[in-house]
Amino acid sequence: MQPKGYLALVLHAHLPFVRHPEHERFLEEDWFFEALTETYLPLLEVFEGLARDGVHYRVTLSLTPTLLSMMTDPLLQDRYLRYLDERLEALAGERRRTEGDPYFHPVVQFYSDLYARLRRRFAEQDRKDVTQAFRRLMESGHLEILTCGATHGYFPLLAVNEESLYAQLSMAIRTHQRILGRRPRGIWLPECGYKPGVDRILNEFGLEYFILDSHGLLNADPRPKYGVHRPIRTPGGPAAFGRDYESSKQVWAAEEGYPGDPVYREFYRDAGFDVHEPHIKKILHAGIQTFTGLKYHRITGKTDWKEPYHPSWARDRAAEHAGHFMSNRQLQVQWLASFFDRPPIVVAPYDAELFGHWWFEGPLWIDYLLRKIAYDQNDIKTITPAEYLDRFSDLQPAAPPECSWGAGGFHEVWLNGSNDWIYPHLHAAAERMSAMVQRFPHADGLQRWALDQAARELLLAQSSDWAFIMKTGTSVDYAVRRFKTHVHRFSRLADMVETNSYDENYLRDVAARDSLFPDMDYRIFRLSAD
Amino acid sequence: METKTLEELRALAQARGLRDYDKLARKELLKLLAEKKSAPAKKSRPTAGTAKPRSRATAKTAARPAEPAPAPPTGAPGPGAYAAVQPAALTRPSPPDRVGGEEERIEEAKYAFVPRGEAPPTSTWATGLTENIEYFPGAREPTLCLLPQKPGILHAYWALPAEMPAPLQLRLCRMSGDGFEILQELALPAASGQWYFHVGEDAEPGGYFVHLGYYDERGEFVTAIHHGIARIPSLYASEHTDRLWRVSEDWFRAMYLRAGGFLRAGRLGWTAAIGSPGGAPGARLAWPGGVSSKPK
Repeated sequence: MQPKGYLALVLHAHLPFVRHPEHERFLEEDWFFEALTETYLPLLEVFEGLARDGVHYRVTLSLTPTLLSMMTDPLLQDRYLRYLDERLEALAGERRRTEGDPYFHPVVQFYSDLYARLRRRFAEQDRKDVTQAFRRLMESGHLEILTCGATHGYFPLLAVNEESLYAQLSMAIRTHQRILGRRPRGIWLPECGYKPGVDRILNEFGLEYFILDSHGLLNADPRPKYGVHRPIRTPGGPAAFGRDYESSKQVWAAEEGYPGDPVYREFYRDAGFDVHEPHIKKILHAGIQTFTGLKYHRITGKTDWKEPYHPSWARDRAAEHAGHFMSNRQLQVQWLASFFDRPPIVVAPYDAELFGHWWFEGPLWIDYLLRKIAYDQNDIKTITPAEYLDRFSDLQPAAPPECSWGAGGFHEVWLNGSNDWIYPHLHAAAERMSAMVQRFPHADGLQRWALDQAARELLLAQSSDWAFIMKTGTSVDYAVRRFKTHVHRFSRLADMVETNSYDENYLRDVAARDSLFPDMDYRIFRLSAD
Repeated sequence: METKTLEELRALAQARGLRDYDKLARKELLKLLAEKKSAPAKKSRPTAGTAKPRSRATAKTAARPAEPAPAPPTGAPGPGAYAAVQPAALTRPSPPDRVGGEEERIEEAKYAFVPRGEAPPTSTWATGLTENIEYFPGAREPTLCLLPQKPGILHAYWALPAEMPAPLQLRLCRMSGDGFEILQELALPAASGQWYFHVGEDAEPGGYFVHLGYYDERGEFVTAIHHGIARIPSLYASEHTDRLWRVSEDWFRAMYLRAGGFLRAGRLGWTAAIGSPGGAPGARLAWPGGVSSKPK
């Protein structure tokens, strides 16, 4: 039976490449471990459970090349096991501490069970590499996996040197293919950052579609007949899908949206600050008070007073919210279908880390939502953008405007008083890199090694995360140092190449630290998709 | 003042940090500006208000504008001062403007180690290699770049060898008919730096470029470097409808408004509010001055 419309749930999973083998422990590596624990592994559990139960569902997921690189990195895999083991040990101490406490002991037990289950799964089932679980779901047709810029470089502000866009795309597709075994059909543009001309380059790489924020379609020229509820054909060739505002609002808004419900877990209350026992202090980095991931309270209300968390209450509420979301989408497609002559699509994209890391019950909500859509109604069906294009290929030609999904909808998150100083360096380095590609088209030996590593350093410097963190004010020192480190390393390696004088020890050390993209070819910094 | 257009008066009001000026008629705006003449601007920032009256030029040189160029902001360059051949001190950039967006909080959470409001742990990691990460090579060639930031704002940066002739001027121009218009001009504060040009939220989206040059002994502007052409994004929906994909005004408006757009003076516009990092409901983030744009 033909549904009235389609829902494309799109999750964008991304973290910058953070790996510090030079230190036995490194605080910022916890970003990855926390996301694995609360988002990536729980999502895998949900997707696999749905497939096992024979539920029809389709989800679109972007796995960025930096994230894929970290997921497949042996050092980080081992460190993640250590992270889980340390928490399990701390939780044993917490079980003793809360013995007899009717409020907090059940929450501690809940975490103990969760961490033990995840550890078992990660070590035994995934053999420490979760990418292959995602790959299996892609091969079974449940997931469509998108690529992204190699290091999540923000295209509109890197486009001063188009070679940078070619390099970001070229390395992204190579990494996707190497780890997931398939060329991607679509791309999640980093931060949904688009400027006219990007569509043409995407087409050169054989990418069939991308996703824009709502105004990317609504303000397209000419006016899109179906608003954001049907993709448009861009002048360069790929299709552009538009984000649906209503479904975004219900999930994204922290307070008025679902994640702000009082029974859900409170993100900001953490045992790292609440518990002053040796077994908790042991998992803090160098004794610095930070989040541990062990959070025992629910949101409760807007004041600082927080009640204990009840996982079963939260589970029930997630089911209610899933039903609410589904019925709203039904009403939405019924309304749209009343004046559309083609089935509308509702594209609902979110940061994957919203589900689980921020909104702890988010993966459960997805589980309930997909089951309800499969069994409780006939108005909507889940679909991936590629499937939609396969079924409905007659698209209106229109040109999207320059846009992003950042605050305000344009570039100011990544270009403002806190981070604008990085762009002269990025542009100068990209110009130097492409000049070296032209000057040394057939490098080998040490020269090739240095050029490949210089290309890695430049890609790492281009990561949009540094500018974002500088703007938001979290971990600014780290972002500034990372940016400076990569620009400095790039410059030093470029100096070596240009003077034909190599410091082999330095080259080896840098290559061991910034070790992503083993199939790097520095010639990606040229105006060619070949 | 009396000769200025409404658009220019609004730009001036914006530059002086006045509020609600866009709701006033020309006469009321003149009165408000006269009253607030001596009031200092709320933020020291180059804005459209510091622009010269537009003049039209049809050649690559144009006469020196009659009014003096606005004084650039002073002060030591920040950590990002370009062409820092000498190692620059690693100083924390100035705190970013906060907009209180719920979604920014969610996005930030990916990188958060401490509760909101508490200082994040200082990152003191050493790379363990013999490298001075404060060292960046200076610009090899004179550089000038123009980037759009958001509707109404363009960002320029430049880096020049120290021996460039002084005083240098930076001009923002826009293609217009057979020639170009000079929209704003300022004296360069330093051999390296950056500037935010505010051109107004309703400004034409296309055809902006920057010239960096100097006035010769005859008072004519000589261009040394130029960069362009940049387009600024538009806040508004296109007025064009495809004949083959015809959409009625009513339907389009209904979809647009339901998707979070707004209707102002008969035009449909959209600015991110929900679901974007930093987007606070109701915040006019895409308007000039909404977020950031701090001059160095």
